[in-house]
Amino acid sequence: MALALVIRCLPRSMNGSIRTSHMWSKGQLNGSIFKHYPAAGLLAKDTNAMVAVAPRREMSDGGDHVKLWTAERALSVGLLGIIPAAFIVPSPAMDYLLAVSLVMHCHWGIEASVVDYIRPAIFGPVIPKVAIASLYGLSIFALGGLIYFSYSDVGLVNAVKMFWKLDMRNILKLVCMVLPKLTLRVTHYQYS
Amino acid sequence: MSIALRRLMACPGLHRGAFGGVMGSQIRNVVLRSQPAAVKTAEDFFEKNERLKRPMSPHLTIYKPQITSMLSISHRITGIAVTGYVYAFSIGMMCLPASFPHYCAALATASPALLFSAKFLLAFPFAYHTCNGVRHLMWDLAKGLEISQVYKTGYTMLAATTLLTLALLFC
Repeated sequence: MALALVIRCLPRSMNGSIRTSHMWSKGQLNGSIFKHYPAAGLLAKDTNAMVAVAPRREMSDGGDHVKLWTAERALSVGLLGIIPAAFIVPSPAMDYLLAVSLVMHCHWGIEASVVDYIRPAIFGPVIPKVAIASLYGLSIFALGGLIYFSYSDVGLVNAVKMFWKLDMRNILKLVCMVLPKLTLRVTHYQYS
Repeated sequence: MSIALRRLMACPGLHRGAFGGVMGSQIRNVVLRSQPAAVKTAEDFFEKNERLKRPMSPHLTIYKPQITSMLSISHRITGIAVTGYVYAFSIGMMCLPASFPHYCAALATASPALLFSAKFLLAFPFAYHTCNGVRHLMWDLAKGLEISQVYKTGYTMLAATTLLTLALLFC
């Protein structure tokens, strides 16, 4: 049990059966783990070949996840600048940039969720693939729509601005309408 | 007891007289043979769990809702919400015949409370996802991963979200 825990605690790169036994036989991990789990060291030396380690489960073989991960983070940081910039200095170019970066960020986020929740263990081999494919279709469609909107309509930033301006007067009206009533009710309550 | 005795009697080579002899001089020959252990390599951890019908671990339902997990799942929910707005706007505007100002003018006649609610529903998820996104990016740089810091930045993020939402709504 303790051994199993030790194996779980190892970094992923060591979590393959071949590499693990190799490292133990060379005694490379003595300092870090066997200091805290002397029994584990004993066990490992004696039963080196019989240590059963769960095989690594790769999401996909051959894909460069490090580059994708870095690109996702770079885009996230970029959006923190692009969104305010698009509103401060609006232009068609900024609108297109916003559309592309926003949809890419949205797509990657949803893709991560789909991979997490619509997984083969629950949905079988087909549905997860269909879900990812549909998401790609939807994202491409949405990106096309936003670019078309920026090209043929008022543009993304202007649309948000127009909608946002809409209710300021109405909100003020609402406040003017509601506040006296509230005050009246409070004063009424106090005097009754 | 009687069954055991009957078994002893039935064994060949034990008929050496009375019971006393049986109990005293019983010798069993045991031959040890080494056999390679049957190693199962085909089944991995997840397949074994499935075969044994083990429930998924950790059991989310047995945990008390904590700020760590709640802020985490909210990040995903708000992200999905904002994505929903963006995609719905894009596809909706593609399908609608008139241009945006037409619909915006139509919305101007909607009740202030409705418009305010709509604005809040747009602004809050965006503000939350933005503020918590900064927190996530900080974690990606391996900063603020101590549990006390996670709580501290969590509360700071909630305050920042509130301020940003109010700023978006009223500025």
